[in-house]
Amino acid sequence: MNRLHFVFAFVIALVTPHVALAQAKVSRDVSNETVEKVLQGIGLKFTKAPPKDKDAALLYFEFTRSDLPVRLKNYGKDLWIETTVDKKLRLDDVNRWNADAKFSRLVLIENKDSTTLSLEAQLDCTGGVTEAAIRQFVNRFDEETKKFAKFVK
Amino acid sequence: MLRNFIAFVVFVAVIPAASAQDEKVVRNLAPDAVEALLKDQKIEFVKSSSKKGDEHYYDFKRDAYKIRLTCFSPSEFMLDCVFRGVPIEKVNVWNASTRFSRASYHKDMSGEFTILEYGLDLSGGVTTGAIKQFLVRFDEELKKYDRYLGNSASDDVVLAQVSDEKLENIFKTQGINYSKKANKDGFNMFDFELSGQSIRLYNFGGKDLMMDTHFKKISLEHVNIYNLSRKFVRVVNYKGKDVEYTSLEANLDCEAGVTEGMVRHWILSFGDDARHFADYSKKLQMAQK
Repeated sequence: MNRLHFVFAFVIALVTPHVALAQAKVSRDVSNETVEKVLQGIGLKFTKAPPKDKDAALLYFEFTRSDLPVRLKNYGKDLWIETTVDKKLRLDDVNRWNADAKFSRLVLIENKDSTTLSLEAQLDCTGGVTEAAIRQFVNRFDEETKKFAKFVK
Repeated sequence: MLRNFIAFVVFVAVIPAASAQDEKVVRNLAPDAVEALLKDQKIEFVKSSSKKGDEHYYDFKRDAYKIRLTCFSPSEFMLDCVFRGVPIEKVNVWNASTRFSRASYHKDMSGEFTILEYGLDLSGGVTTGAIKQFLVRFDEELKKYDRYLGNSASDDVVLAQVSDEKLENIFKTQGINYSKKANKDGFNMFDFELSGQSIRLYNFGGKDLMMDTHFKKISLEHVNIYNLSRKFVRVVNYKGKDVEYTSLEANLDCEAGVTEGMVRHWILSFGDDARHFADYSKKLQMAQK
């Protein structure tokens, strides 16, 4: 290793994320304020809505990504993110998505007079969670939503 | 009234008999007596012995704890259980405040871990009841120590990526036996058993962890129903080369950093999910018959 390489490696070591990551605050539940802060940090325009029916969520955060409506539900101990499309797919196709997916799952919801596809992901916070992990959860779902938009076209 | 009288007579007749058994004083216990005692306590164990054959080991589980009873000799017993690592100072505080057990700090290639130990010397003479109490007391000590470790500082250190060594340390400190091998892409896979299910964990470069466990194929309708009702997991049907099967899967996105506590919780929760899906799958198979 020549001198320049050594200096370069040293600089890289200094700015490597693990230094900053080690200082992140770890909590075991998520407040609505934390979710708001993370969404604002990403630059998302969202609205807040009370949970529907008997849903135990604390609050819903609704916004649009890839022209699809996204809902982030805060259950305090876990987060749930979903986007829904009123469309029917064969279960074979739903399974095909799930076979390829890593950070989401697709479910078919058949109601009396409608059929909906729900793309969803959950983040369990009881083992600990950081704001960065919540940000990553929302951003990762954005990638899934983009792929999903193409998948259901 | 007569019922009460009969109950009283039975109580008077039975209790002293049980106590008499427990009051028998022993100064040593041969392996067959140890085994009988464990069986009497409804403890299912796996026995092994040292090469020389003079030490005997009995491995068993109590709740989620994997315990080893070592009989160094017929009169020297020790119970131990491996736990996650904490700073040595914290181990010392435990030892200074506890009455019966002791903890020790260790470090190896996989990282830090601690062992909770509790010894019993039979040579002066102890009752069978005291030996049973030795087992019961250790159960209590395990729970106390686990609570004491709580969410230790090391549990909350955010890791930029999850190394294989970190995973191995988590397995070790959870008492999970595993085997490790690399797949064709060079990523390591860990095979282990949790909640009676064979599980595989894939470490994709420390940035993405995945676990799966396979089951007999169920219908896509039932796959969808299950996915609708659960959190954190995904059920998928696959067509293998020769066989179709259903897989329960979970991924942990580590891109933004994770803590040891998060990974530990993720692994243990998947054990619960695997058991839950196994029950669901079993009920479906039963209904089909």
